Amino acid sequence: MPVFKTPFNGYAVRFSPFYENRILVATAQNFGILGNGRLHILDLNPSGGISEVRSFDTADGVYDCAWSESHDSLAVAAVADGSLKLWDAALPPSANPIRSLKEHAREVHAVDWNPVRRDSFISASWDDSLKLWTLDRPTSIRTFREHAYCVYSAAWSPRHADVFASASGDCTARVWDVRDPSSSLVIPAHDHEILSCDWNKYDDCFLATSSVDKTVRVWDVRASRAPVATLAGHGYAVRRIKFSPHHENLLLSCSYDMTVCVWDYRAEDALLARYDHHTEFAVGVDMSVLVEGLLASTGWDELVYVWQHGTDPRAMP
Amino acid sequence: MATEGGGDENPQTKGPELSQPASGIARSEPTDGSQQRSPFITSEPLREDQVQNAVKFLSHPKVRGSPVIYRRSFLERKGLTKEEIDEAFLRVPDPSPNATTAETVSTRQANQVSPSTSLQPQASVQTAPPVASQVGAVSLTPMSQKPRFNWSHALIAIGVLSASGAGSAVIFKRVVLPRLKAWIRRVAMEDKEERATKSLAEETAEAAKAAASAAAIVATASQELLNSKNEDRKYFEAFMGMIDVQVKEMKSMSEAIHKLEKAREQEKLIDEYVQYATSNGTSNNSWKPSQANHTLLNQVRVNGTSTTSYGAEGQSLAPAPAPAPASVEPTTASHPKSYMEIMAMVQRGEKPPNIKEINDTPPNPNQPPSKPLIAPRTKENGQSQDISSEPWWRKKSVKITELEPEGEEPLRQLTTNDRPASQRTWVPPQPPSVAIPESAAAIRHPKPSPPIPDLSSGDEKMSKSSMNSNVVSQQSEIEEVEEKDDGV
Repeated sequence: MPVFKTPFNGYAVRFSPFYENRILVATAQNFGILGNGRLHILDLNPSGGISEVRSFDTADGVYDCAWSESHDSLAVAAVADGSLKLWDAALPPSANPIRSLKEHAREVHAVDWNPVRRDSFISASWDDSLKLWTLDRPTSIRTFREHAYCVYSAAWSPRHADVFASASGDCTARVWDVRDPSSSLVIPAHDHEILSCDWNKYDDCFLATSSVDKTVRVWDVRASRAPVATLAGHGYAVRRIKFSPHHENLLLSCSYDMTVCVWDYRAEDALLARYDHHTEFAVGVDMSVLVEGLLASTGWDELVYVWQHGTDPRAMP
Repeated sequence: MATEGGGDENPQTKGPELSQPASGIARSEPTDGSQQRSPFITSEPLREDQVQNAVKFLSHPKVRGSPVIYRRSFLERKGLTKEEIDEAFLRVPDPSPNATTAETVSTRQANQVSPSTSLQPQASVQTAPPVASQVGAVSLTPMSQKPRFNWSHALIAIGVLSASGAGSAVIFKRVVLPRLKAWIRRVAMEDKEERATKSLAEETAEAAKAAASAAAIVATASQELLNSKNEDRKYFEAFMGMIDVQVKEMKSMSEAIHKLEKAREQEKLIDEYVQYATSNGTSNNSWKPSQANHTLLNQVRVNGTSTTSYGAEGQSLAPAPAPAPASVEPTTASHPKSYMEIMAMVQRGEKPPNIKEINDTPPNPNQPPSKPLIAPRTKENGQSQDISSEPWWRKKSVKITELEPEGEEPLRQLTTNDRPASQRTWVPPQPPSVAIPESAAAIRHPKPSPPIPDLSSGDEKMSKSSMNSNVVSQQSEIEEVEEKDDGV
C-alpha cells in the first residue's frame, strides 16, 4: 500500500467526496506546537503510488481539513492561529487562499462540512466555541458557546441538515440544532476529555465519542443515560473516530498508542482489526465514501497510509 | 337549776307541778314577810283592776301565741308588779303545767338565754348555742308542756343540727374540694405539658443539628476524596509523561548509537574505496565515491526509515557522512528534535529553527470559487467508472493470503447485514431545497419540535429539573430545619 511522506507532522486526512482517489492531508510543523502548516492534496495513482497534486502553506499549523461538498476543488483548513482558510485547487496559487475567516480567539481544532446542505461548515475551537460559516459570507453566521473547555471535534449529522455534534475537553458531548439557541442534548460521555465524535451513517440516533480514557463509547441520543457500547482496547487516548459509510456497525479509530483499530460495536468481540503501521501518534483517519473499505491514516511520523480494510497498510500493492 | 326563791322558800317542792302553788304561796307570804325572803319581792298589794286587765290581755289568743317573756315584759312595762303579773298568769288558764315555776325558771333562763337567742340566727355551724336557744325557745312558747318535751326537742334539735352540719360538710366536700383539686390538677398538668413540648422541640432540634453536621462531614469527606482522586490522577499523568520522555530518550539514544555505527562503517568503506580508487586511478574518482555515497546514503536512509524511532524523523541525517564530498541528496536541516525538546524550546521562548515566514492571507478576499467540475453525487450513482481495470485501492484483498480470509470474513458477515447492494455506497441525501446562497445563509425559522433530540433532551431536562427540584427541596428542608433550630 502506498505511503506518502509529508514534510510536517500529519494531523488529519480526508477522502474527497468527488474523486475516489483524492485525499486531503493537513499537517503542522514541529508536532503542531509552533511552526508552519501545510495542506496537501494527494492523488492515488493507479500504479500504486501517492503523488501530490497541490499543497498550500500556512503561517501556522493546520489541525484539521475538510472537503467542500458543493465544489470539487474547494477545501477548508482549520489553522492553529484561529483562522479558517479556504483553498480552491482549480485556481492558480496566486489566487489562493480564496478566503481567510478569522474569528476564533484560539486555535481552530476541527472543521466539518455539512454533507446535507452542502453550503455551510462548522468549526470547533479551543476558545470553547463553535462557529457556523457559509461560503458566501465573510463572517460567521452563528456562534455556539456552551462548552466549558476546548472543543476538540465537530461532526454534522448525515441525515438531519441542521444537526451536529461537538466533543469537548469539559468531558461532555453536545448535540446542537442550528435553529435552536442552545444545545439540544448534553451527554456527559466520559470522565476525561473527549477528543472526537462521529455520527452513525445509517442510524441517525447513534453517536460515537472517543476520549482520553482510551475508550470509544457509542450513544443513542434518544436514551443518553448510558452508552450503547463501550469499546476498550486502545492503550492510550483515542484521537479520532469515524463511522463507516458502508457498514452500519463498523467504526474506525486511531489512537496515541500508534494503532488504527476497526470495531464492530454491536458484536460481542468488538475489535475486528488492528493496524500498527505508524511509529508515532496516529492522529487522523478517514474512510472513503466512494470506495468501500478504503481507509486512510496519518500521524506524527509524517506518513500517510492508504489501504484496504483487511490488508496490510505497509505492504506494497 | 333550782330557783332561788322556790328552793329557799319551799325545799319540799318536788316538781314543777307543785311549784305553782308553792310560788303562789311564796308570793302570798312575802306580802307578809317579804323582807325576810328576798329583796326582789315587792311589798305592794295586788291591784285587781291591773290583774284583770292583764288577764284579759293574756287571754287574747294572739298574746297566747307569743312568748311568755314578751307578755311579762309588756305587763311590766304597763306597770304591773310581779305579783300582779303572776296572779294574772294564774288566773289565765295556762295549758302548760309548769307555768309558775317555769315562769320563774324561764324568766331567769330567759334572762340568761336571751343573749344566746340573739346569737341563734347566726352561724348554724355552732351546735351548742342553737341547741340551748332552741331548747329555750321551745320551752318558752308551750308553758304547760312537760320537761320531757324539752329533752326530746333537744334531741331532735341536736339531730337536725348534726344532720345539717353533716350535710353541709358533705356538700362542701363534694363541690368545693373537687373544684379545688381540679384547679390544682390543671395547674400541674400545664406544667407537665410545657415541659413535654419543650423536650420534643429540643429533641427535634438536636436531631436536625446532628443530621446537618453529619451531612456536612459527609460533604467534606467526599470533597476530600474527590480532591485526592484528582491529585492522584495528576500524579499519574505526570508520571506517564515522564515515562514517555524517558522512553523517547532511550529510543533516540539507541538510534543515535545505530547511526554512529553506520557512520563508522561508512567511513571505513569510504576510506577503502578511496584507497581503491586512488590505487586504480583518478578517472573514477568523481563518481565512484559519490555513487558509493549515494548507495550508502540510500542504505542509511532506508535503514533509517525502517527503524524510525519515537522521536526522530526519517530524515534525520545528522550524523551524515561528513567526509562525503558531494552528497547527492540534499540533506535537510537538522531535524531530530523530539516532541519534548520542542516543547522545552518553546517554553524557553526560543523559536524552532525550521519555521518560515509565510503569508497565507487571501490575495483576493472576494475571490469566487471555481465552478465545480462534478456535480455532487446522488444515491443512484453507484460504483461507476473503471470497473474493468480495478485500481489497487478497489481491490479488497491484495496478495497477502494470510489476511485474506480474515479480511473477507468480517466483511461477508457485515455485508449480509447491509442494505441491498444498490444502496451500498453511502452518499448524503439531497437537501430539500435548492441551495440558494441567501436562503442558505439566512437564519431558519423556528421549527416544530424535532423528534429525536427533543425527546431525549426533554427527558434530560425533566430529569435535570427534577434533580434540581429535589436538590432545591432538600435545601429548603434543611433550611426549615435550621429555622426550627433557631426558633427553638
